[in-house]
Amino acid sequence: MRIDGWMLMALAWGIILSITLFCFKRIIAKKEFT
Amino acid sequence: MALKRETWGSRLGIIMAVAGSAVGLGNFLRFPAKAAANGGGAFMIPYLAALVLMGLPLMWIEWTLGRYGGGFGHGTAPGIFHRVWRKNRFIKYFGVIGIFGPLVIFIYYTYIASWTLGYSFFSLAGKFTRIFDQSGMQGFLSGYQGLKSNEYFQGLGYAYTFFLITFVLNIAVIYRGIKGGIEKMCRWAMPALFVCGIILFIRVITLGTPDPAQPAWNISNGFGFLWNPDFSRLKEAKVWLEAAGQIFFTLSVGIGMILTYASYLSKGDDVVLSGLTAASMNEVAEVILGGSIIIPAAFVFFGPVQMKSIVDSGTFNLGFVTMPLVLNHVPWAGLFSFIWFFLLFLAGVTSSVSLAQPALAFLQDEFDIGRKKAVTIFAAVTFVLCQPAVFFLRNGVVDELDFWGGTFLIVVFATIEVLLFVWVFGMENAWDEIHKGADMRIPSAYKFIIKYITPFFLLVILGAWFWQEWRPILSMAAVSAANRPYILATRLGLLFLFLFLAVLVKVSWQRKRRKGVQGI
Repeated sequence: MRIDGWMLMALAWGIILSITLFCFKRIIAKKEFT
Repeated sequence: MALKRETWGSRLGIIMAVAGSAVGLGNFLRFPAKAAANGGGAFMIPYLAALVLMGLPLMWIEWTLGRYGGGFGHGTAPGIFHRVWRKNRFIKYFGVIGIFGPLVIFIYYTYIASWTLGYSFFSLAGKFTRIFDQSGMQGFLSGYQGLKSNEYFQGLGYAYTFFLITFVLNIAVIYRGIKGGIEKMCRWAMPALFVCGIILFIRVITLGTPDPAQPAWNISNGFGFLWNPDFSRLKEAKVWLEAAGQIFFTLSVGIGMILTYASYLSKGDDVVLSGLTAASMNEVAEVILGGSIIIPAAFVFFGPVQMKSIVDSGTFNLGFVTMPLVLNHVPWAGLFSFIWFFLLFLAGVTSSVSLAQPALAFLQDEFDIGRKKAVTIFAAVTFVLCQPAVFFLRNGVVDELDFWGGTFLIVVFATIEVLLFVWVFGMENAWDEIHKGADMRIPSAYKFIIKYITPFFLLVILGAWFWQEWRPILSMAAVSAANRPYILATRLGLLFLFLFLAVLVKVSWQRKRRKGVQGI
């Protein structure tokens, strides 16, 4: 894979994973998981 | 007396249910094929733009409208739209799309989901694990679908059996209700789906270079096939439309099912964070897992030249022909094939139960029918409606149902929703309604995005489809002469179903008016 491919993959994965972690962190912090 | 509406048991429950509805076969089959065929990594630029400017706003709008309508005892679009625009007598009929669309998708989606259950069984039974060529695996699929009688299958017996099992499973889940059925199933099915996805992800990234004679056919280049960007493709309007279309399909917006799911929330329940969480779970399943399984795995076994035709062969071929062929080359082929098809089955069944819910909610909310009776009516009607999808697959009936229920009408419905929400309900009211009970504030730039950019995006997609496809579709230009009667009959059937639902809306409103229900 070319370097620009790696960069785009890292960017897309990074954005998606950070939003997901942000959401779950807030929900867990509110103890509203169950 | 109106029946008491059900509620979700927990916040996790509705998030898993909405994510389950959104994560479908398309996450693992349609997305990688679209990305690879439309500029690779460059496709992610319009894809993420469409997610931020259209997908997330629509997600929030549907969650908010659903919760708002639920507060007035309406779980489907006719009642919700009428509540938003009380002065307009006709707006409730536009809401019929929000029951019609999911019902039509349910008719064929249940059958397609049943293939994945059948293939899960055949994986463990080793029925296709010794097929190593494309034409053999294609023959297996055609035989299973009843398109051909061959050494693998003679008739539709197996396909029909697995369809019956899948259909009964769907009915059993919805029979148990929101909390005891859908929520309970999604709470174990979604984690199980992610576990299956992660197992396959690890299997794929450890494939290395299976054929030492072809050192370039390695897993890194497999990812490169999907992610290496071709920025020149961004000049093509088609790429932007494909990306926007993919966001639509993947988030399950514009169907009407999120409206219904959100209608079972309480007034003070957050929709901003919950909506964002469900959308982000869907994106993890699509971009991270979906993008890392089928394309890289196929690349290391078939190489760059064959990959082009594989990507163009369509999503069913990718899932039911290419992927089992790939997995037949690895140790424990049957087990990994089972994990693959069971993952697709979980993705399918968590989506299909959500597609049933709007029609059920309509019967319950607008006709005061109890859940069990409503499920019985729904099961009897949809079982009959599913039959053409099973028996006339070869004649293009499923494609036709998919175009009207699963493609065209969802864009129309989303456009109506956003215009109603912003321009009739009013942006300030809408903004306040979104943030009732919210755990986080949406950036204020979204006021502008929701008001102008999202409707603009939708109108462009709608306009482009009209421009490119309206005439050939209406004239059935791409349909063979032999299949035209079937397509025509499907269209007439769909028209009849739509009119029947519109009449039901009229009858229910007249009934409520006679009973003196306020706000009707």
